[in-house]
Amino acid sequence: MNLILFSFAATLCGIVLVLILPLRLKKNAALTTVILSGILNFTAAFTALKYGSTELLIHCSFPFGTVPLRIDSLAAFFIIVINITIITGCWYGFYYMKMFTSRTKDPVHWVSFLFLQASMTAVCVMQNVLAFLFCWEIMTVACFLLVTYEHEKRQTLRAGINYFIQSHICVLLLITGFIWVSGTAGSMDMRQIMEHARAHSATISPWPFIILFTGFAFKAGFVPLHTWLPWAHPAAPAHVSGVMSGVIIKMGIFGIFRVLPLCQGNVLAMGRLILILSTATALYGVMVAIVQHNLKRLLAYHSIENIGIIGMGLGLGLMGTGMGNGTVAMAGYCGALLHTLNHSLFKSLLFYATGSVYRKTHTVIIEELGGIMKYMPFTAGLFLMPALAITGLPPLNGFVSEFLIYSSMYTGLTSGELPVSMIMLCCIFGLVMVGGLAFLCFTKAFGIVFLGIPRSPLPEECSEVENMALVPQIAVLCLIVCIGLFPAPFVRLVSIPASAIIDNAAMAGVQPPSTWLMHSLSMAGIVLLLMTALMLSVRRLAAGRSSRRQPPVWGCGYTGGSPKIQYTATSFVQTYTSIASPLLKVHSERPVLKGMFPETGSFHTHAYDKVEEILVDRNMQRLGRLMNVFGFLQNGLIQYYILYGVIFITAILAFTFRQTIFSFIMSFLALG
Amino acid sequence: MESFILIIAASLFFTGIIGRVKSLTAGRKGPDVLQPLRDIARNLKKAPVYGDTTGIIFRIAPSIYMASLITAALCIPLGSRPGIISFQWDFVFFVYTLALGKFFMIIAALDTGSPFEGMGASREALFSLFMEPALFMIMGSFALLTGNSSFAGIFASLHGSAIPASAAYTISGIAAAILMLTGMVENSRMPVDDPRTHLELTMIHEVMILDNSGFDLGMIMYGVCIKFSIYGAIIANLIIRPGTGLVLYALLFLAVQAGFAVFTGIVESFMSRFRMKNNPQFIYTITAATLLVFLAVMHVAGIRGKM
Repeated sequence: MNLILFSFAATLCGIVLVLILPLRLKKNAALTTVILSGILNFTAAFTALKYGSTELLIHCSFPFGTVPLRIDSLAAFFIIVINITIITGCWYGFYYMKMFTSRTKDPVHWVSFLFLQASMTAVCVMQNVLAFLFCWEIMTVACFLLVTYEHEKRQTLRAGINYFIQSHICVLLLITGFIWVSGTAGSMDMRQIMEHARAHSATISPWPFIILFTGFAFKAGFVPLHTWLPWAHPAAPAHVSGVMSGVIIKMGIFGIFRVLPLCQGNVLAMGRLILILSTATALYGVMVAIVQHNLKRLLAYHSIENIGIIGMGLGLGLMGTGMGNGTVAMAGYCGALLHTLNHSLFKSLLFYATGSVYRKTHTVIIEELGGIMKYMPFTAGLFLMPALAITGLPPLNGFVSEFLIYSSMYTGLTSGELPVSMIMLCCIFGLVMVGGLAFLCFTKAFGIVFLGIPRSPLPEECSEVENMALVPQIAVLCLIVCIGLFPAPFVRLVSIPASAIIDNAAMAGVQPPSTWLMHSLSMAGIVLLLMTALMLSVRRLAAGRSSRRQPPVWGCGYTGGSPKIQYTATSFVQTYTSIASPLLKVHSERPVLKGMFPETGSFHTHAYDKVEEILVDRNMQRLGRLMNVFGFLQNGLIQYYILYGVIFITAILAFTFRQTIFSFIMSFLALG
Repeated sequence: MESFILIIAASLFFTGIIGRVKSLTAGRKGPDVLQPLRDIARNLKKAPVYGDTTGIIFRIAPSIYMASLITAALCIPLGSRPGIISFQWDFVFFVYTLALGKFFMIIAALDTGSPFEGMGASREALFSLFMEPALFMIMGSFALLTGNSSFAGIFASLHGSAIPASAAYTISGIAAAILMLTGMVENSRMPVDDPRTHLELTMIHEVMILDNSGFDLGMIMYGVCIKFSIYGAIIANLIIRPGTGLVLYALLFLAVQAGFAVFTGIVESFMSRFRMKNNPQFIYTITAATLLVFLAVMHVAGIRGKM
């Protein structure tokens, strides 16, 4: 436990160091601090996982009271997830930031980064409601400062402010929910609040949980509360996007897990609601992702999809608890937690690889890229592997967590009652469709960006990034492959918090997913890998004498290899777009061709988020119209503004002395 | 192991039988059953030629495709004899492994930068998206019916004493019919794609592999055979009672495979290809038809008092 305090102290020293050191040394200091306190956090977390939860009481004065710091298994697991991505993010950012020539904004950036690490770790361990909200707020502000690094760009600032406002709606909901529960329980200690909820499981109102869930869902990006996410991710520098998508939105998931004991009473119905909501989130996220032109925006929508998959596991866990079926609950929670870890790995890696592409080509618009693999082979590989993992293909880690969620759903399907079976079947269908859509999306993203021939002239210095920038990415890749090939220890890791959650729900004797099953999975993965190696070596032996001749590819009369006739991202998903058009909002401008030899024309498509349009934009317009009614008040004449002030003061005075005035008038009338 | 050997054995003749049926119905003399094998063997002997715009993905994709198909074939059991890879919910692994191979074939097609191959890749990705849920739904329904969770467990207990034979055969009949159509779509055969067409604009699978040659092309051509016989093997498992002896089972298995091949040949002889626009609807209809299996299972399970 003390290790966590040491890590906070280290971060504090780091912040001071970053502020006083000369400009060129600042990022070194930041990286060192992040790694150092990361290691301290890891040690603390693993100790807590191994020897059970530890706690430390800090007695503060008003308003906090006693602040308990506890590392239980859930907090420990999330500390591990957070610190892995924070370290790789900082390490990658160390090289990524070279592309910005101006160094003046660096101090704020690196200090925010250090604050982010400390505040996220603190959110995990703070078990006092007020202190939790306090750290949550620091995290939000630090993240805002990181996102708006390029604040001179209007787009970035808009995205940042959008994020800031929506984060505060989230905070507002959290405050409401926490005041409610701590008022009912008569304590600010989370453990006592949860115990109170468990003790009064029959009478507790479901509303605090729903309010808190909604608040955390803002952070996590559940549809329809996701609208800040696709703006903020592309605006931030690549390593910040990686960290944001990898772990910051996972804090929402952490929060939901943290307040899960508040969900008492009809758990099955709540689980069902979350499951259906999450399936819809996953489907919507990936459906919109496919039509995006900006690679980072595409990845941002994929984060929404993956949050949906995590939410499915969570909903399944609750449903399993409600049904009294431990296998469903265990597999669901394990799937959700493992997918949290997996997504933080492959999504951050996808963002890093995209960042490398941006560094060299200065664009992330998919239609302008192409053939990058010939210039940046390692970056291409570092994009391909997580792309396979996010699609859920074996033998990588995405498959393992999706497999756990599938197994939970199939177990529910075969052992539940008719309504449960129907819902499970629909959700299996949903998850398969999500997988298929992600397949379409990532064949597009990888195929168009990295393969074929360049669609627009690339900068001359387009080459692989420096080797050291590849190191953190390769480290993440190793973890991805490791979890995919040897899932057993990782599943055991996530089963500790998962069984803690289930035990809390008073269901004893639940076994974690069997080790034998995990070994079979890893065996199957290894067979697949060996078979691939075998086939590649057979091909090498049999066809080693491949012809030196390199003819142009087939282009049916034209020879291929011209970007003009190459398939584009839009044309690759054109059939899909037309099928899915009722659910999407794709605006296209077609040129009108006239005459026998038409002039050159151009064709634009632009995808917009339909949910955002209906829920956010239209309501903002309505609000704007309402406010316009009062527009006459703001006429720019200073006399009027003074008049408003006078009227206001008079009104206040009149209101304060209303009784005196009233009695005066009455007496006056009576006299009269 | 037995199932793997039988799948390989069946794959050797599958496309040959289709070709033979097609030539017979057309009244031609036609090539013999082994002709596709000779074509494949000839291709396997040749060195591949790679186009100037292609990269590493294009070179490794056919091998990964073949590896994924073989791994998928290892998952298939033979009646109650489990496949080499067999665990709970192994059909999830089976489908995703097939998807891995397909992923590489699609990005390999995009690697050429050729407009036609991009077109084929786009269609293949979309159609496999619509096709994917079918097997999940069918196997989920059977898991519900039998209470088992792996290929081997499901096939072993499907024709057991717990389920009335009429019900088992009705359900597996519907499922087999759907799987036949699935297999034909997955292999880009007639109502969806015409393997004999010579116009790139109307192709799906063939247009993706226009630039593959030599050893790679041989592997891809053999891949079609083995994919057909994987689907045939699932169908055979659904239909044949698992209690029968190995020799008889093997004969019945090969007979079902031959029947599937003849069916494909007849469909190809008498049907024309759909308009490309209508393909998604057709494929989604097949997928939706899997709900029939689920409803039938619900019915049977309801009668058995399980629900």
